[in-house]
Amino acid sequence: MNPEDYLDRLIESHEQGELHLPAINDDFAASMVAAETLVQLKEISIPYEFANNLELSIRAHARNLKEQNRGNISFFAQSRILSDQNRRSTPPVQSHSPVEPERLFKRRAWITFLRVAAVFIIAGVGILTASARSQPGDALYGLSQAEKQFALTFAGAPQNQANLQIDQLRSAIVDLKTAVNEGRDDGAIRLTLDTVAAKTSSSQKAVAALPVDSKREEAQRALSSALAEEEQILHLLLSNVDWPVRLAFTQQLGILGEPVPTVTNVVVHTQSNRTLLITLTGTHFAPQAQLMIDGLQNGMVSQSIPTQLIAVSGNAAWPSGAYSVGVRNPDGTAAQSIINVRNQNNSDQEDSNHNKHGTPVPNPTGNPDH
Amino acid sequence: MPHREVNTDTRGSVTTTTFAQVIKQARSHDEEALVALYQRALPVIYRYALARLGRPDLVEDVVSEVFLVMVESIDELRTEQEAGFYAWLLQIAQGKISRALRHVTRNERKQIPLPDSQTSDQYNSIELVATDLVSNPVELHEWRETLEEVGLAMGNLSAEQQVIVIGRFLADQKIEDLAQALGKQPGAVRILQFRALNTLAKHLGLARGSQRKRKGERV
Repeated sequence: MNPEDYLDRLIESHEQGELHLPAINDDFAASMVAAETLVQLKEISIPYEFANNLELSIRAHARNLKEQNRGNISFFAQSRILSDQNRRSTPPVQSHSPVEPERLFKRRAWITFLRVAAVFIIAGVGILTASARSQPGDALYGLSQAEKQFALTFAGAPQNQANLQIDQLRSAIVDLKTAVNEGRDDGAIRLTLDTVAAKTSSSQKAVAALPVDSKREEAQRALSSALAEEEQILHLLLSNVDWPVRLAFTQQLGILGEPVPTVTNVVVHTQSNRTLLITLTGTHFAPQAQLMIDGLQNGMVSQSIPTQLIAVSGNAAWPSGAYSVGVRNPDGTAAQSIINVRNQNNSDQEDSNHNKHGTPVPNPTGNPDH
Repeated sequence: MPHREVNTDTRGSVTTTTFAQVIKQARSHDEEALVALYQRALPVIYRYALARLGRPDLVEDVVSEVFLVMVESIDELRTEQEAGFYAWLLQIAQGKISRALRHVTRNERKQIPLPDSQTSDQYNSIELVATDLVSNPVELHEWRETLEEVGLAMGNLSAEQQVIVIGRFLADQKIEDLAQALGKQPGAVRILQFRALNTLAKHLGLARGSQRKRKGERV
């Protein structure tokens, strides 16, 4: 006989109270004790109240299902019937009791729904809070801008829209200041500056669109204050930014009406002493303005008037290529123009340098790059 | 918390010959038939759930859910045999118990239990066993330990093995009936029972080499 069959015989003989078969070995005896332990579970009593309540619930549920099977009863009517039945037949709700199972299920469904909704709300609030604090270059900056656009869309009256635009301009100025002071990369700073420029423009348009009345005057005052703040911040930050960003800041200051330098023409002559005479033509060159080649100070300024700057550069060997030649005023504002230098005879560098070195050619676009 | 023993010996109320008839009536959501099935299966399901979960509050929730599923899904039951009915109900209970255990595990991770908390007092105050043990605190304590060990040991059995040992020792089903319910040969079910009991013995500290001696040698 197989051990499993023998064990089953052993168990059956015990169940039927027959003469005990001997356990072949300890393993059999252990298995028999395990079986006995399972049988001992029958000693567990069932709580009467629980059993009674559950029976009542089952009865109510069964009646409800029976009614459903009979058909032609609306869902809401069934719910009412179940509710009535529960009210009549079940004792008051106790914790851990199955009383009013339908209501329990509905409550659980509601709790689940509310939990999910709460998670979404918390996540949404968290993201919005984080996006509000985000800076250009952060993952949530786009969301922050979208949120601001959303607010503008629902701002309502033109007066409100103008005020909101001005608020957003102020916020963008603060962002710009933060981006520069935190040492963010040029790309992020340029992005913030673009936002400031866009908000400046839209604020001006929003205020201009207001009817002439006291509210417009009020908005105009707020705008003037914001623009003054913008100018001040841009000036302050000029000393902390790289050359390309400095040019962009200067351009924005020009948009705001500041007298900022511009470069309209650059002429380079090779002199007999193998130095270069560089002449910049433009506007708003300040006394003590400096010549800048590729963003670095270069040469000695020999003459400076508001529309012309003449400087001598000692380095006569300019290989062919594009160069940015510009000016930086003492207040930090700057402008530049791109020139292309072509050596007419590369094989004879010295002659070329000496005679016609670096004949400047205007920027192909024809627009000087400030 | 005083408990009154429910009359668990309900085999006489639904005889074997009429069991199929009861199932048929229950499928049409006949109230009395459903209650008869409930009364018959409650002790088995309750005791099984208590052994697995160990917490009466959880057990009541699980058992309630099992029987509500029974009422709603009785028409899906494909057998009219008692062992098949138990197997079906135990499978439902296994799903509910697994879910409850996952829930408990999650909550335990989240909560740091306080010493002598009200919760543990509450569980201790719930009597689990027949009154003859209540009068003997030592035996009662030993019994609770045994119950906990059985629950842990049973967790090491496969779902099928659990159905077999519970069907066999708590629901008093024959091997042949369980085999038919599970779509297996009786020999295969005996093998499963043999392995299940070996596993239980091993995890209860009864197997060869174990130093523990158990009190129950009445089989």
